[in-house]
Amino acid sequence: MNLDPAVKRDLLLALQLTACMAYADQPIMNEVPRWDGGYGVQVFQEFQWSDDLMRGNAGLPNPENLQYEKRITHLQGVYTFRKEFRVTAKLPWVEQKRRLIDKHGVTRWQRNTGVDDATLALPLRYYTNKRHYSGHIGIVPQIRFGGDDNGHYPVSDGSTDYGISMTFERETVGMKITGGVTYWFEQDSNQGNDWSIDIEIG
Amino acid sequence: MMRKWIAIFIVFMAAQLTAMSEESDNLLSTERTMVEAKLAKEPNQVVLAVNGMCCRNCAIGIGKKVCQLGFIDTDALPKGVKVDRKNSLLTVAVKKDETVDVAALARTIRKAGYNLVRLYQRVENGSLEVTEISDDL
Repeated sequence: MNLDPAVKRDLLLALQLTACMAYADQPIMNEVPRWDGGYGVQVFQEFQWSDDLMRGNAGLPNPENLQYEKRITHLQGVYTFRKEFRVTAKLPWVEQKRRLIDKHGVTRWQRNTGVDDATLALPLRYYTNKRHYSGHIGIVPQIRFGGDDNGHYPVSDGSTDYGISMTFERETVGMKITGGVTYWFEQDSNQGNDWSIDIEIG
Repeated sequence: MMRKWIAIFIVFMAAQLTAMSEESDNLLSTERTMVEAKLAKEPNQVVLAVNGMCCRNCAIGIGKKVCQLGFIDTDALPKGVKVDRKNSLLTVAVKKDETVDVAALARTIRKAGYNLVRLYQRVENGSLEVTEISDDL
């Protein structure tokens, strides 16, 4: 295929971005454009399935084959104003179903689809450029807008939550390490605040 | 367990804040030798030492920005620019009879996310001229 080098380069970038691991709580992929006015989008799918019935850490027998399945299509985008200041957005579309025993004792499937929480974030980064390595430390205020909370099997809790992350990255030609700590202030009264750590070495 | 992870995170953050040791004379001498060999064959090119240029995707930004400068010969090299991430060197093809606008290059590379620190070019008598670039150029 005889493609223009610029198109080839953009396709390569898109493939690389798509191949990047999605952070659980980071606003978007780590390979964001560093140049002023750079932007990118990525779409990827996540699939979850389980038929484990647990009580605490102990597994329970599952003769009714109760299970759940969740397919999430993530649409993510980033725009770089300058390398120290970006805006990122995440929009997940969820298709989910679960097999449960209803109040009449009948086993049945329950399904729902909808938009999960959309996340908007402002990654603020301080970069260090040295010979043969580069890196950043950063702070990321985030807001998570409540998604569809309709029906008996809602996709989202519907609450708008606020989060803050601290991130770092160090990269040489042959190695890269990135990480971050995120704390979410949950506004849903049924859930407590939560936090997570992401570390990736590649 | 939680404390252990937080400690690991803090160590990495501290490592990030700590500046690496300055470039040794030996490294600069190796760089100069490499550049001399390169420019002996290509007099219409200049070589730039660019700090931080080790990211595969982000180096794309340098090519994108630098090739838009008026004095770049986009017919030579791929769009007039060649990135050597391993040695942190950027080779730029210059149009015949054009002079290199060092300030524009430094500004453009900064906008791409990196720092231009040195410029190597052949001068009229054939010797190699090295210009150190300050951050405020």
